Amino acid sequence: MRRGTQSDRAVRDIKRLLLVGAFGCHLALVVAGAAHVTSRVQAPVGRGLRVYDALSGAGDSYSFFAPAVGPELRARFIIRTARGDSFEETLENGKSREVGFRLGNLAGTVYIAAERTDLRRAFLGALAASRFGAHPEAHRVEVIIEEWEMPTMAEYRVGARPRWRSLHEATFVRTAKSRP
Amino acid sequence: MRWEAWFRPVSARPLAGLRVGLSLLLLVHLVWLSDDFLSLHGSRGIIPWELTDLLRDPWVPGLPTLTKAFRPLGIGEHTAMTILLAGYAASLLSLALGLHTRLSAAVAWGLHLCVVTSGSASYYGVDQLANTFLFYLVVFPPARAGTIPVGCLRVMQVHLCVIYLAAGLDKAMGSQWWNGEAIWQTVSQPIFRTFDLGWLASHPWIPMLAGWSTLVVEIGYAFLIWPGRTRKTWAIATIGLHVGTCLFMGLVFFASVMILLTSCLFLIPEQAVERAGARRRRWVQAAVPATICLLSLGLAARGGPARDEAPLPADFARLVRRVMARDQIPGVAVGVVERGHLVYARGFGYRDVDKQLPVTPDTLFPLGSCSKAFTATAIALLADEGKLALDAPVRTYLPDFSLADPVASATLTTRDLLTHRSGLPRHDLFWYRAPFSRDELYRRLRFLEPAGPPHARWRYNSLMFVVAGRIVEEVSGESWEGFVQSRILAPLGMRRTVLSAEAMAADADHAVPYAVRDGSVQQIPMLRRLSAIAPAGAVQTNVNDLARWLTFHATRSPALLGERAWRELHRPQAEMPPPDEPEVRNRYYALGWIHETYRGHPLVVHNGGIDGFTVHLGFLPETGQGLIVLTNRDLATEAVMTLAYSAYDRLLGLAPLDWERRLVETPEPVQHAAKIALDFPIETVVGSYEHPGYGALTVGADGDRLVIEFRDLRWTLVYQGDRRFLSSEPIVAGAPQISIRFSPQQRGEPLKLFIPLNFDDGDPVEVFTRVK
Repeated sequence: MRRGTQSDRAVRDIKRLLLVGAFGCHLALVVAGAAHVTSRVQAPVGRGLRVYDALSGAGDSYSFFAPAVGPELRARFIIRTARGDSFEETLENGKSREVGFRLGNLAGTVYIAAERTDLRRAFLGALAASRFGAHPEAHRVEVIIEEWEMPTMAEYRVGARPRWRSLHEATFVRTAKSRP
Repeated sequence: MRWEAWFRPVSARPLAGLRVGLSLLLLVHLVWLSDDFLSLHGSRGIIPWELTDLLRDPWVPGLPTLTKAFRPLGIGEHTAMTILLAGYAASLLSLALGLHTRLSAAVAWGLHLCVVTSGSASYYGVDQLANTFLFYLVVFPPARAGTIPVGCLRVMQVHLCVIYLAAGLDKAMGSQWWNGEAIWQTVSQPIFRTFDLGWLASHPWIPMLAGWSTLVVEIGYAFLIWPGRTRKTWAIATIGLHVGTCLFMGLVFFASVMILLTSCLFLIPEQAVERAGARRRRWVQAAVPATICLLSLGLAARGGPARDEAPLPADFARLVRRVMARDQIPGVAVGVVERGHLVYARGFGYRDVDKQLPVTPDTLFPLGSCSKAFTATAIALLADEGKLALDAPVRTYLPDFSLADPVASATLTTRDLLTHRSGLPRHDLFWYRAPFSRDELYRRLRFLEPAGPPHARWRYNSLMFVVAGRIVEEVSGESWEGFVQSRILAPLGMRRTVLSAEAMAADADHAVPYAVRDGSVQQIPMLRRLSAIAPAGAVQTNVNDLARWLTFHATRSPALLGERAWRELHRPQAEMPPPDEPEVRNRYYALGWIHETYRGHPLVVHNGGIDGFTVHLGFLPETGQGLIVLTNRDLATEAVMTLAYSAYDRLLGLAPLDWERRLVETPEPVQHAAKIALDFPIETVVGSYEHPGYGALTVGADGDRLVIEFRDLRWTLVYQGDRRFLSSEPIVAGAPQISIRFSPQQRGEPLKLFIPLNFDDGDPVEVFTRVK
């Protein structure tokens, strides 16, 4: 009986030691992720770490609005019909601000993707396709990725005002083959 | 052993609070996004899965992987997504209720992770935080017997401290958080802007202080949240920080999650054994932040700020097309601005029919009389700076100002000029297609007959805005064009706006003028001689620029003018004749604007018309919404007002009235007068005539008809007896037919021609004298 109890206690101690080790390793990864270290570790260790980071959130970095506030990005569309009508819209659909944040992030992702020439056409094309889908009468869609250029407070005081500045533009035309 | 301390039992209530709070927040958030879920996800989303997969680690599961698993069962992607979302919602609800806690947490975490990874293009930091703490709910033991090992709580607490510390240190590495620019930039971005905080630029210490406070709270969190003495203070400061992001940036979900984390992990006591009373009090303490989170989420889920709502429904576009077809309007541009956001901008038809060029929100149109508000704003800027007084006589600034009425010359004020109380009638044919320079126009004003005394009745007169423009030049030392460009267009960012017809014609994207002649729409020449009358009608612009113009007038953003001067521009000042529509009442002229009530709501508007163009601008002071309607057809007032009133009905949320049926063009029938045989030799009135103001005209004969040539206008007139002739058609589009008269032939007296070039009752008749 006593031997059994001692054995149980030993197993429990080992378990606890392992758990404390796991806690320590996990928190070490949290700190490494916050310090932007994990992303630099090479495969195969790096791959394993990144999978664990993704599952547990341990490898996240927390640079919210840091070190500087980046410009807001948006996707704007100029849509023309075969009849000559044209109109503009953005991705924002007006339902809620939370949706607006996500659609804004989407424009940011497309902008980052568009920096890569191999992905640019595909991502901008996907945005155009979403507009062709929403507007069956659309014949041509111009996709414009814009950033909000906000003057500094000093510039604002002497009359400078914010504006949307174009970063990427692409035009897509619906072909007969692509018509629904 | 040392590590034994990690397994000391503490109250499971922090973990339970986190479990309930987080799952409820995620559940509300899911409902919130549900309408747009398929736009953010799926192979037919805005960014389809085949592209988001390029951004995803293939080793981390995503929704595409899970939906594929349904295929062998004959379940399509859409249905599979619905099942998975229902499972996600059910697991969150189950987790909140504490049913099969670990299983529910595992399902909720797994599906949340899949949602986040497959929608990574649109998700942001808060989704990752939710994933992290759902993970903890899976791996840490469920709160059986009311206790958990303290190590579990410490891991989450340390993780939260690392989050704040990293966020604070990363911020501290940038100068923006030290000089306040970060706060300024953030609250000024359209997506975050909840209030107009442009005034912060004039008080940079406020954003600077807010930036420093953020750094102190975030960096200090890791150290000062632990000691009992500072814990409560720091938790309140942190919650205050997140309430700030909620109020000033609209980050409701993010703020709610962060408040929940601090509340649960640091404010709910971890002591395992308590008295019943203390227990109850602490539950109340924990419930307060959770209630705040849920209330704020509920409020935000109602739809966010008003600017996000679709302003004009789809039936409005159909109305535009019907009205265009009905009134033969080649092109229309419509814009709606809501507190700085152009929320509707659409072109219809063609800016140039022959070349099949479409109208766009960038297409330039002349504003005609809507330009008057630019001159009024220029005057208001100078008044705001104390450089002129609206109620001082014009001669204070223009000593040579002279009208036919000496009392008017001496006593008219700048306010009288801008409110059409000079006593002069329209005198439009004085400036229309005239060869005069602006100086010459000004010099000749003294020869124009008034229709009544000054300061009294409202009588529309564009020429007084030329005088106002001259005051701007005299007081500022700049040309009217230079002043408007540097002090209005540039600060407002109206980059495409130009101040002459020639400049507009040189722009590739400009509208071509059309008019209906003989029942069909035809292109007409563009009226180019506008320089002389520019302060009253030469601004040429587009929907995008007008959005900025109306934003300024509707909301004083940016604050070009002090509030008092800005309000003066729109305040009712000169009573105008009552309009025909009973829904429109209390019509007064303000300064370059008309103030009226439409269906009980204040409305500030102006119309503009110039050869081939009719436009309308207006805004609703109650809501800050502005409306732009631009057309490239002459005299299309009924069409423009049909669209304007229909749009206002929708913007005000009123039941739409049938303006389409009520406002219909009714062309004036041409009066075919009976031909009367001449009873005097027509050659005796042929010759050149002169008016000191209007200039020269020639009278000729074509058989028994009289032909008058005035500038590039030519009128044929038929005899009506008693030395009177009637024009066979309106003398210009929109004007009536006129009846002219010659004085009796008297020896020694030059022959006089009496010709009514103003058309309202009581307007004077212009007298031309034969010079040869």
